[in-house]
Amino acid sequence: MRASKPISALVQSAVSELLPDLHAKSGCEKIGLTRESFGEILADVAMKYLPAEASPAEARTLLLSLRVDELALARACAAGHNSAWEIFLIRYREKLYQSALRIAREDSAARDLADTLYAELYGTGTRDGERVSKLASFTGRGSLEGWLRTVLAQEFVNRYRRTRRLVSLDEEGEEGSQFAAPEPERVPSPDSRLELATDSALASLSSEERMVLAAYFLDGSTLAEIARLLGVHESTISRKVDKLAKALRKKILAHMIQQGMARRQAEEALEVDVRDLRLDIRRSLTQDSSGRAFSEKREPRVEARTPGGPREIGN
Amino acid sequence: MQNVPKSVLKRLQETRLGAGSHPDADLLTAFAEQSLADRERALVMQHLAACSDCREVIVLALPETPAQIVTSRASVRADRGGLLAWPTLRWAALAAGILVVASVGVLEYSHRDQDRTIASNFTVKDAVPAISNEAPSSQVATPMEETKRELTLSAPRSQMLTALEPAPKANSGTQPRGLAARSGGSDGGMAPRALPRPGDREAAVISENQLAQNRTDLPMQDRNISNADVVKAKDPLPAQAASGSSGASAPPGLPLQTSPSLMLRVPPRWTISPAGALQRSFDGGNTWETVNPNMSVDSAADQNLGQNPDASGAAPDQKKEAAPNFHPIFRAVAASGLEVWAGTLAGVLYHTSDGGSHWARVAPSEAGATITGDIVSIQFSDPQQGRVSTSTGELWTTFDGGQTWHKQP
Repeated sequence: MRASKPISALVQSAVSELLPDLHAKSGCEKIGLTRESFGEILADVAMKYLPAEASPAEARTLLLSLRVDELALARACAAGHNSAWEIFLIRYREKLYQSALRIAREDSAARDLADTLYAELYGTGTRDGERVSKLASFTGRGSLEGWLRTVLAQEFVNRYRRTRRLVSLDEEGEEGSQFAAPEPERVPSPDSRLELATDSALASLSSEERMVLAAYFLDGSTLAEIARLLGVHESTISRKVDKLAKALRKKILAHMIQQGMARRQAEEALEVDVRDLRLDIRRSLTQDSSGRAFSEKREPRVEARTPGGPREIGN
Repeated sequence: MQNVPKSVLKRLQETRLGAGSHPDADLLTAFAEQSLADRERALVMQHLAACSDCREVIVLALPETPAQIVTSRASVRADRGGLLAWPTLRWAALAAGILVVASVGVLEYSHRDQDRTIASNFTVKDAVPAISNEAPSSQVATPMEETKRELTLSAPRSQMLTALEPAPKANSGTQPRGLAARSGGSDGGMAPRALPRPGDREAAVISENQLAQNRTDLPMQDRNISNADVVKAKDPLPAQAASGSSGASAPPGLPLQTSPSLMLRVPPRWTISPAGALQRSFDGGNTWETVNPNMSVDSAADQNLGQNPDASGAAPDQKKEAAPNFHPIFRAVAASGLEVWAGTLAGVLYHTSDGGSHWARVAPSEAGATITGDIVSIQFSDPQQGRVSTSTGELWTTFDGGQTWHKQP
């Protein structure tokens, strides 16, 4: 059954099967979208997300999980239908500013952020002489409101990086390479056994576990935030972080000992490490959260270059 | 909270992905809304584990905290119940246990005494303790009952006070939670659990002060309610107070009805959460509280506004039965000052003219036709003129603030 048909044919048949139903739910007619164009949109979305080996059932599940009414609204706005815009503005204008304010935490920056997004939603850029609205990229996987918040947050994070580049031009080279690849040069650590042990311990974790660790210890996200991200209770995350931290230490220690380190020596290596970290965390907690992302991002690079005494540069 | 070795953090930080491979905004949103299937969720998770930017985006994009407000409200309720029910039960059980032991002891003792006095003609000496034992036995019960009385007496009072002012509770309940969890050392895991109780007390104290300050300028109805409750709290009959505060006579809508009147100087801002809950903010959008109009549907206001007898007839039932649990799913809200209109799925329209303290269900109807479908938008150009449109394409207009409605063809 699997991959017996090419994915496009599979999507087409799933779309034509579900279109009457989804179309009725979407309220397309009132906002100027025809049934045919909505069918095309659905097919595009399904093609975008389904893997080549998807089964018909997967295609159906995906289509049924879409927020068709919001998808129709967004795409009708993108296509320039006024009635859709009216509805969009009524429903989302106020929320957009509120979300921007929450993300930027400061009124003028928030207005700026929201205005920029507005312009993009309305479509200032043109492609082949046609106005291109950012709403054309909304696919209805999540709520439109959530999508707007995510887009705002992305814009905010991007802008952050840009502003920072303007502030310190001398670091532009570094900024540019930030996303290119894993650090190319790595100064060999004074004790590579610790790093090896760390690597093997981390490799044994699931991606969710690594995500939780990174979010909590690196990003300074709160337990509540992580819990909401994962849709679990805060206390679950609290226990999880605690357990993970303990397990990691144990594993690293075991690995170092296995590599021929004396237990005492291994414990010391880890102890020094943890003490440094505590200072680190306290510092990141006392820092203004708005500056958090960058100072934290910068630290490891500096650290990698001048191991031993990098802390004062971070400030 | 345990710390992890720095080498771990370094490694976590060094894992970076190539540019261009970030999941799109749709996937990130769907991830945060828990609506991805396992396969995609795993892919996004893998990316998030390595990409601090996307983690930052997704945390920044978390919705306003309706969940927090709702849970803290739920925990208020739970705490209140626990505060009242558990100690009472515990004392009651203890008192009952002592009573049983004492009375059995006394009975046994006096039986044996009687037997002994009869059988072996023993001195009266031993019978005296039996009598004096009997007296304490009733006294044993009385102090217990008095403690119980005190407990139940104080419980509803504090309950009333916390109920009057849920906002500080929501703050004290949620904000320190994060802080304590971060700053607390190894006990970070327990801190959030332990916190709400001291918060309760604070909230009670704060609201007591506020109550005192505000009592003079409370609106008439609210004053009645709070006075009634003060009287009830001072009511010396423990049984009634106990049943009153744990049972139905403590109005579940009280927090919502009274708190805004303490705060309503500025008109709140209104929004609808992604989950469809109606929310308002008194601080310009920093914190949001969920409002359930069903908790405070005002039957009097209903008669004023709703010209559909069914709707006004249904409202008190809603209040009694469905109110605490039934959360309508809102799709549209329009506010102008203290006048707020909100519409739900399945076409229920709510109106308040005091910023959300008292609500009325309004059922637009004209010539026998009533509203159908979900309400998708509400617009009021001024308090008198407004229009409501539904998912079924109906458009209802009013020119007199909702007294009469006209259905557009």
